[in-house]
Amino acid sequence: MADYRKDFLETVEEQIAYKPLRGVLSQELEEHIFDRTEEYEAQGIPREEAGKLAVRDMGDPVVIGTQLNRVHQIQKAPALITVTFLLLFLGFAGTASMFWSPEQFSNGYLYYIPGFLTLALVSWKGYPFILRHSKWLLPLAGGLFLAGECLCTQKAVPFWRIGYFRYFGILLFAPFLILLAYRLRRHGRKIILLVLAMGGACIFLPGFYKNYGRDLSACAVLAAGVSGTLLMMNRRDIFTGDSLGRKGIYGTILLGSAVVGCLFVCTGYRRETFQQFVNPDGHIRSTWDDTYNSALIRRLLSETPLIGGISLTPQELMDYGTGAWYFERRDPKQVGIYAVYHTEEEEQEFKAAVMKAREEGGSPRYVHFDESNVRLWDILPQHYHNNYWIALCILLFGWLAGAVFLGAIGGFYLLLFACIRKIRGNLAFSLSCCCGICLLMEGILYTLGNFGYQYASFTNLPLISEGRISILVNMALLGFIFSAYRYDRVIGEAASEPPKAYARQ
Amino acid sequence: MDKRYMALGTSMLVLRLLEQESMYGYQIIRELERQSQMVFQLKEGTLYPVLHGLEQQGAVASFQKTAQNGRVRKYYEITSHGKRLLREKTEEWKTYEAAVNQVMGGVLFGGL
Repeated sequence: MADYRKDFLETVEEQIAYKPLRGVLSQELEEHIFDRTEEYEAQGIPREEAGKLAVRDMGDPVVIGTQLNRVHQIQKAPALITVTFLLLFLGFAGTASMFWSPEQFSNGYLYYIPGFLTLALVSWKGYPFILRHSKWLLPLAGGLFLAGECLCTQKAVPFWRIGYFRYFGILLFAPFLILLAYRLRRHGRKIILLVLAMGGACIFLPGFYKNYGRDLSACAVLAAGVSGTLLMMNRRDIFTGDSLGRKGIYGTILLGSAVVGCLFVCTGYRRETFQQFVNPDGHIRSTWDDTYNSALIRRLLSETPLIGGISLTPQELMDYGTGAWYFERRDPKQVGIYAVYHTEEEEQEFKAAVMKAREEGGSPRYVHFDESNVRLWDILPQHYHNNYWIALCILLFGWLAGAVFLGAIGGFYLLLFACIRKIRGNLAFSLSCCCGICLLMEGILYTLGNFGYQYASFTNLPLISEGRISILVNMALLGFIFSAYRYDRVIGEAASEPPKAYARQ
Repeated sequence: MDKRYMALGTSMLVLRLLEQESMYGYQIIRELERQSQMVFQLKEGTLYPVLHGLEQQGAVASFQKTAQNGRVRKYYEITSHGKRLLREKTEEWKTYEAAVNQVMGGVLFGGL
């Protein structure tokens, strides 16, 4: 009997392309053969004969194996992978070649190398790793995040260092919360409220000891990622065991999300940040303000033609470079001061101008160019790294080129969410959806900033404008989506407990 | 019967059985035979591609349970998506059945 059974199972296994799956499928069929054999034996048929009959009853092993293989295929997304690599290459080439402000000498392009490796590694191993280790990953990630939060309260640590890591901690907190919600999904609305409360605490509490703007944009990404994913999970009826039903759970998520949304305007600083976002013109004080950059970029974009880049005279360039176009009539003490001097007399003139502006309450820029050498690069908003890729593309090549660039970015997101939508496994879908919404939200905030509506500090534009270390986080998020999509049909969760509905039977 | 229709019909029957209670593969086969009074007798192994296909569609979910004899069995339970799918399939089946009855009835009446 053993030989018949073994031959049958081996033939089935040979048809399965994804080798790690062979044992799991084979085990289920073997259990069936054992059950059938026992039944034949109970009818008085000798063990050997019963085994033969049981294997015969199973049918053709080639047909069964082929049909199982058709169901369990590794999925590939060639279009998405192609667009991803094209955009990654564009980001790498752009970051490597366009050092147009001193702040950009950061060697950001070198981070594309570990970024690419992270993408490849997480795509290859991410989802299987989460499935296998989520039990200890959950407390570990939660513990690390809490430790990081406690560190933020220590004044001895420079705030810019905290902000740098906290930003990425917040981004990664979103999939952690979704993993928690998924693991405890049978608690229905209770776990939804707990997850929203944890997300809310992450957004709310730091406001008391740090008003670091970069956090707020990460918090917006977190809030959108968690709320959006909870809604999508409910759409798939992932939350069970709750008497509220699907509509009631929708209501709970929306209500909880609205409360979390209120946290973005719950302090004076946060209200001001929000007002600067929706009405930047009403909050411009000097050329150093992000709101001024927003006004400048909108003005420049409005003067750019459909085809071909913006064309400005040296006089116009100087007006924009010094801020005179905006401040000359409103607040002349904010207009930039020419800061190139060759003689002692010129230096004295410069210092006197600075003193005068400061005494009057101004904080003008120091201008290191004049009409003879001013360039477009000199007048663009002076941000770190590549915060204005989209606007820059429009300014250099016209609106049509900008539309193509935006179309490529939009195409990437469409392909990404088309893949996420096809994911069948509930855990894979939930986590991928969260990662996707986080990446999308980053893209939306970045794009809004490029059209003059900047919320808090700039986020990254995934793949294209990655700054430095942020590429590791974004590539991990993207890699996880690739991984979940890739293994969705071949790796399932090994649920070891019956659901409540079954346990009651 | 066309294999495609056969597979569709099997899916519908499996979902109907799982609507009654969660079962493992062998149990489904026996229950199908019992409730159909031995009319539906599948090659038993062909049930598994159907079950796995339904799982991929999100119509059924699976979990493992250890039986009293120590054997670990993979149980399948219908999901709410599976229940919706079953309702749709049942409606389709009723339409098909009514159409067949009308044609068959029409021929009979015409012959009288």
